[in-house]
Amino acid sequence: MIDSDACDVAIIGAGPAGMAAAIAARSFGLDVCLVDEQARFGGQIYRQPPAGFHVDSWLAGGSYASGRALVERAERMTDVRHIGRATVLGLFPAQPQDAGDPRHHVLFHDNVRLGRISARQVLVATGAYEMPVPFPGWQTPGVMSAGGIQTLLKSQRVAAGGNIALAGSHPLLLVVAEQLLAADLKVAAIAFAQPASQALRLIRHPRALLPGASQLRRTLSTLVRLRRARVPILFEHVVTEALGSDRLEAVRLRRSSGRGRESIVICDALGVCYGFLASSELARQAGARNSWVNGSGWVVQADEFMRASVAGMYVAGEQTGIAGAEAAALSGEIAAVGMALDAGRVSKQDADARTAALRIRLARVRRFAILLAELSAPPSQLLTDIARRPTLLCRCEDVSVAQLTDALSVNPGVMSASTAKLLTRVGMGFCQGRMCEVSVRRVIAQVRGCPIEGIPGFVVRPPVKPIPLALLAADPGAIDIDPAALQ
Amino acid sequence: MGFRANKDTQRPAALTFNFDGASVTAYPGETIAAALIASNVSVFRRDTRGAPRGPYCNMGTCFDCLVEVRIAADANHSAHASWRVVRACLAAVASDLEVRPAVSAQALVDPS
Repeated sequence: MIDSDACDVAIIGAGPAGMAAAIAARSFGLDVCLVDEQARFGGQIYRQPPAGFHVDSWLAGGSYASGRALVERAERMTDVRHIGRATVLGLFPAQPQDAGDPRHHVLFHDNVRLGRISARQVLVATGAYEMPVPFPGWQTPGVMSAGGIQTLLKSQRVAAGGNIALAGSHPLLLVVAEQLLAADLKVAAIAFAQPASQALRLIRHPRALLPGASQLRRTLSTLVRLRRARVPILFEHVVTEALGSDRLEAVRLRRSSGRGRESIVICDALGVCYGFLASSELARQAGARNSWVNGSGWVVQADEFMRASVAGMYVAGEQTGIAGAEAAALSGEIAAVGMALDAGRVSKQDADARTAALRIRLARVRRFAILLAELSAPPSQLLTDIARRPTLLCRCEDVSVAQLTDALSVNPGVMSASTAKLLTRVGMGFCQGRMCEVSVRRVIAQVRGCPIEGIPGFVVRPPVKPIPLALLAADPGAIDIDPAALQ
Repeated sequence: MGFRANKDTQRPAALTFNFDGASVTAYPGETIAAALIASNVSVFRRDTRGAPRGPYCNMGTCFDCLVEVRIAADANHSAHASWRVVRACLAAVASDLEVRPAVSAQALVDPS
C-alpha cells in the first residue's frame, strides 16, 4: 500500500519561498510536510553541496548572506517532515462536496516508490526555470542553461567545460561568469543580445536608484572585475549556432541587428539565459487561475495572503511573477501567515500586523523586478529570427520548426499549442512541454500575425512529470483518486 | 571538457560506478550527471535521430540527461532486476551502480 502522510500544510518546493513558509508555519504551530526534487534545502538559487562535501566558498559574497542564513534556519528545523529527492506528479484539491475535514492530496514518487501527502492546506512554491530558446545546434552536448552551468559548479563543484561561453540577455550571465572566475575557471566570452544603452537607461532610471541601488552597484563592480580579468563582454551580439557533434566545439556569433560579419568563438560549454518562466505547472494542473505575462510565463493569480483561486491552495515566489529570491522568501512568509489565518491560528488583526512590513519590502523588490525585466528583455523578433527552419523545437519528440510551420500552413485553424501538439507531437515527450511551449506559441503567433499572449499553451494534466510504469504497476491503488478531482 | 573544480572543496572518499561498460570515478553525494561530466562523458544518450544528447538544465526540467540505472530485484519489489529511466542530474551515484544511456522510444519500436 502507498505510504501516506497527513499534515496541516504541504509545501511543494524547498527554495527560499518554501523554506521561509515552513519556518513561519511552524511558528504558528502548524504541522508541515515539505517535498522537493533536490536532496537538501535551498532550491536552485541556494542549492547546497552534498552533505559529505565541505565547500568553503559556498554562497560567498554579501548578496548571499540572507540566503545562507535562511538555509541554516531551515536546516535547524527538527519538526518538519522533509521529503527530498521526490518528484510531485499531481496536486488534487479537496472537493467542495468533501464533508468534515477536507484534504488536498499531493502525489509524488522518488523512483523507488509512490507517496502521498494529505494536507488541509497546500503551498505551491515550485520556482522557475530558464526560458528555453531554440537556435541551430542548441541540443549539442555542452550547450546548457546558464543556471545549469552555475548549479553544476555551485553545488557539485564540477566545471561544465574548460572554456565556457555565456550568451543571452539576462544579468545572471554576469553572476555565473564571476562565480566561474572565482573557481579559477575560464570564461571564453559573454554575449548580450541587447545594447549596452538598455542597461545604462535603467541605471539612470530614478525609480531604480532606491530599491535596486545595491544590486546595481554589485552588477557594475562585477562588470569591472570581468573586464579586469580580460573576459570579452559583447553587447548587441547573439549566438546563432552551436557547432560540434558529440560535444560543443565552438559557437557562431553575429550582431543582433543581423548586420556585419559573423565570428566564431571557440568554447567547450555554452550557458544560455534569456530570462525565466514560472514553473507553475502544478498550480495550473490543480485549476488555479493564471495568465500569461511576458518575462514571467504563466503567472498564478494570488490575493494579499497569497491565496490562489482554489480554496485551501496558496502560491509563493516565482509562481506570481519572476521577482527573485528575496521576493520569494517574503511571499513565502506572507503565505504562511495566510495559512495560519485561514486555519484559525492567528487573528486577522495579528496577521495584518505580522505582514505589514513584509508587504512594503515585497512591493519594493517587485518594483525593481519590473525594471530588471525591462533591462533583460531580448530585442523583439530576435528569438524568432535565430530559430531556423531545421532547428529542433521540441527536444523530446525531435520536432523541427519547419515541421510545425508546415503543419500550421496546412491547418489554418490551428491557434493553440495543444492543437499543434495533436498535429506534430510537440510537447508530448518527457518534459511535458516545458522546453518547447513558449517557442511553439511564439511560432504560432508569428505565423498567424497575432501577439503571443493570445495563443493558449498546453493543457496541464497529471502526471505533470513522467512516472516509471513499474511504480504504478507495483501499486495500482496509488492513483485511486476521484476523477472529479482531475476535472 | 568537464572536470572537477577543486578550489575550496573537500570531498569524501571516492567510489566507482559503471557507465556503458566503463568504470567511472565519483564521490558520494554527486549526481550521475556531475560525475559523468567530470569524467569527460558528453553523450548521455541518443535521440530518435541518433544525435547525441547531454544535460541542459541540470535541475530536472528538461529530461535531456536521461540514463537508465539497474535496480536490483529486492529494491524492485520483484523477482527480477530491471533497468529504470532516471534523470542523471537528480539521481545520486552509488558504489558499483550500473548505468547505461537511455534508449529512445523510437529505438524500442524500430530496433536497428
